[in-house]
Amino acid sequence: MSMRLSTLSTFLIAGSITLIGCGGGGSGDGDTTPGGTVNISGKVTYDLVPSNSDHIGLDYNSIIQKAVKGVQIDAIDSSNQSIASTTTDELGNYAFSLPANSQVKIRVYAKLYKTGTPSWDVKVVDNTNSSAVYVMEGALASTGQSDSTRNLNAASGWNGSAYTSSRVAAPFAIVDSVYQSMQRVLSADANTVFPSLNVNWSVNNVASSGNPALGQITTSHYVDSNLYILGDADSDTDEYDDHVVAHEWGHYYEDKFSRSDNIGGAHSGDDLLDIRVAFGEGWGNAFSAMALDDPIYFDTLGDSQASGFFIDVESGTSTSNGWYSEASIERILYDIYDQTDDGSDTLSYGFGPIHQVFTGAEKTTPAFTSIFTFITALKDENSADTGTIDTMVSSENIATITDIYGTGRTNLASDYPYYDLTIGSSLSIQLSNIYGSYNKLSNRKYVRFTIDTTGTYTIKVQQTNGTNSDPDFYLFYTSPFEMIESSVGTVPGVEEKSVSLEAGDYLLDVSEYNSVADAQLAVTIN
Amino acid sequence: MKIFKILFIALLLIGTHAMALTSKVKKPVLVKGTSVGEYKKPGAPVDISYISEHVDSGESSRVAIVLLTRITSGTMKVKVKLGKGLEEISNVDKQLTFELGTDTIEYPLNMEVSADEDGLYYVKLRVAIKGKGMRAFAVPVYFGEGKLKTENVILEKNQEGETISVSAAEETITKE
Repeated sequence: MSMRLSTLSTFLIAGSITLIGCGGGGSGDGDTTPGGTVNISGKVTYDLVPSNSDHIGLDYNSIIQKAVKGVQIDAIDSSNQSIASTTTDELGNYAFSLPANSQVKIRVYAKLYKTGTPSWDVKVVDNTNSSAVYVMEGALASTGQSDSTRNLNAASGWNGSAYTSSRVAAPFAIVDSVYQSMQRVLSADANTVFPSLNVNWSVNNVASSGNPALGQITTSHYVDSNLYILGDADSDTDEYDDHVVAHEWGHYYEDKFSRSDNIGGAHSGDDLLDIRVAFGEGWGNAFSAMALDDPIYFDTLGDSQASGFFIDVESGTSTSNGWYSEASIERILYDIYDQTDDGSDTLSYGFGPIHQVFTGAEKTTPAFTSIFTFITALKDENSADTGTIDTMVSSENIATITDIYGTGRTNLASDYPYYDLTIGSSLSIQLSNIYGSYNKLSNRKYVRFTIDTTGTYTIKVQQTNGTNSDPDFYLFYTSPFEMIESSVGTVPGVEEKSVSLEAGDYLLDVSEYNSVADAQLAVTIN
Repeated sequence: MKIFKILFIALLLIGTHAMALTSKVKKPVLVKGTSVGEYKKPGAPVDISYISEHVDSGESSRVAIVLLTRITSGTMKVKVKLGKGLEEISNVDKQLTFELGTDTIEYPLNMEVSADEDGLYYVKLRVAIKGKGMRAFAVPVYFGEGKLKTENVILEKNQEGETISVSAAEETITKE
């Protein structure tokens, strides 16, 4: 596969070198010019700790120095003021023209920033220390009377058996994964305007829920324009697990460029998941493989970061293939993208058509985002390949998808989530926790209904096989798609709320909080 | 929530709790947490719920943990590790193996820990289910003021007023 495009790189190379508070430009020939300027240039790198060849654990014996691409870099004078600013190019190179014989240090930000079109604003910050942006600096030294080179490297902090000094490289490793993720999107649309993103990383970031300012981030995840990345040495660090970073960035992409109805929660490749979770997480894994052009997703953890697991996004196997499986979905999405034909995969779309679906039909679909909405739109926009797409989907035990709701499921058809309700009638639905709780298949059902006359309606969900459940519901208007009401009371066996509804189409997401094994519910809207 | 009732009962069963005469913490303050429903990276399909006691330094804190998984076959291996400065009073095996079955989704782990200094500490778990991935968890245990101990970092403001965390680069300067 060779799909690396250099759109972002092109912009970075073309980026101007800004000279602040300094008269005149550089001579560029290395001449001594008392009172004039000299060129200070160099290369910025970071220590990349790769995974072992079997993708289990990090290999500290194979650290390489990799270019820090596209980041802000400043020349700082003896008063700690920035006198020049630029960005590194795709090789990590930079150049300044600076006053000769001046005390200057070079400061490198873990920050990608560009205004105009395209544009981006990405910062790696310490969420446990005032959300400070990570920077590394060289020493204050004279620029001298002739040109010089200052190469800077962000060290891993690894001493051969443990982290014993500052892990300077970590924020720059994360920036590199984000850079590559952005590159993939720019390959489809060179004018992309990326909404701002904070990446929160700290050595204090542990796998505990609670207060992110204390580092309690649950695990690496994305939420509300923020990536949170683990940094807990000898337990779970993710700065070098580039697929983890790219996976979470994929959630940012869905959120900002498309729409994600993913409700979160624990998930893995063999789970039978709520269709929104299956699609969102399958997308995350597939995107990480697309962004890095590497289908092996790996995650390292444990003592000395020596343990871990991996997912083969291209050729992996799972025990529960189907429309509810993130593993099936990641393989389908990656096969649509990649250049390698294997099995039923004969498509090699690259990222463009995928981006088109995500930023188009998927964003406004009146159904919940799922493999059904995605494949329906992909086929609509690539009608010549409908048969090929159906074959690829079928290879994952998914019957031909004909609409955004996935009508006509043959595999686990009884767990199909959509129901239709007529106003004034009662609808019986069955929830189950046979596959797990919260975000698994059949934990939730979706009720479609249409309001013909604007007015106040009472939505009632009542258990009909006991009172041990705690029904809840979330109400969505479908055009434009937005959640407009929720009702999550604690009265046993029933949930009821009166709401004002305009004429239009709605979706009701019905769930049950107590995780009872099988809750039979009657839904009415009057 | 049902799981916290189970954890609270477990906490009561762990042991008696000594109270200091001059305590900073009006106790026992229970710290509850769960990963259920949180956004997560891919990994083993396991959640955690816990209750720990926030006590004064030098006292013992009872910690009740339940790992939750719907996987019904195979084994779940759990490696337990105490964060730096945390001492165990109980004597829990640090390498646990749970046989997974259809009759339960809850796998408990109870322990008692202490710390000589005020601070925020963690009991750390690494969970692995063969073929299903791995997942790390950290259970917070607060002693005294319970503040996070951070390594020394240099914070500055740059010209734009942005707070920056400054580290030293490895630098090579070559004159031409």
